[in-house]
Amino acid sequence: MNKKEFTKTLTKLLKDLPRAERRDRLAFYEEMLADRMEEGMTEAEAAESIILSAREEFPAEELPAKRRMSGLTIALLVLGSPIWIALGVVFFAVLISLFAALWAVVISIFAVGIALMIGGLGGMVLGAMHIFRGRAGTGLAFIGAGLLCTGLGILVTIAAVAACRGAAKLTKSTALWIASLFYTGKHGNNTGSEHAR
Amino acid sequence: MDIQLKRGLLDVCVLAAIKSGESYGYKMIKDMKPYIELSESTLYTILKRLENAKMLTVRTAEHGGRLRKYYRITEAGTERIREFKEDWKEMLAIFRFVTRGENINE
Repeated sequence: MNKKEFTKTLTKLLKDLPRAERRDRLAFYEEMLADRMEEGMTEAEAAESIILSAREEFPAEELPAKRRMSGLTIALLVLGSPIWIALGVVFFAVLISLFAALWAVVISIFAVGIALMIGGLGGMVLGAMHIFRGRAGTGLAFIGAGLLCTGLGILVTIAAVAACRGAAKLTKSTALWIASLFYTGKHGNNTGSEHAR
Repeated sequence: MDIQLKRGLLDVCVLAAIKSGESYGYKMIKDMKPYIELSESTLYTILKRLENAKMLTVRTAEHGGRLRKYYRITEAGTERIREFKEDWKEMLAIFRFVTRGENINE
């Protein structure tokens, strides 16, 4: 490796640095090269050992490959957007309809429970009215049926409350899962770039 | 070794390499070599940091038809070495306490 190749390789390694720092660092490395050669090292030897040390601190030559890959990924994401956006929308639509159905079931259980209670109470009132009008048999039958309905209604409402809790739990955990798809944990940066060999 | 601690130690090493007179990059690496091996890249970073902290000054002088940078320690740099020696006494006392009764050479 001659001086020209040395400078070229280093410039490539340091290309991500601000211009002033790159120039400064390059001058520093060139001074090191000249000093090593003054000591009797060959140009190639000196250049290689300095490049090695620079590469330890700036493993920049591996970066373009990574960038090309991310460029490719971006291109695929953009080109594939008609497909994956549609798929995403369908996924969320299905999820939302599933939850709508779940909550519809929960609400209808509530409705059944409450209807049974109201019907039961109505039956008892009607039964009382029959008794007042002297039709004791019919009245008692209505009151009995009313009590039965009310009891059943209370049981169904208790079941509805339990179903509501379960559905709420499921909705919450699904919502959290969806949120976790978008907010991934951030990793700390590796700050240590200094090392004595 | 803890990165902060190591960084501080390397700073003091570089300051110590110029404590008895100005020096240049390659000579500093050579002087330190029997004690600690430092790469050019690392040395550059440390020199920049010390320069920004005003612990050393830099001058450029002509040498054999080219330019070379010479580094000279400042009062702040000398003070840093003094601090290091004081800190180290404390560290050594703690080390002795931590390893009391042990054979630390094994």
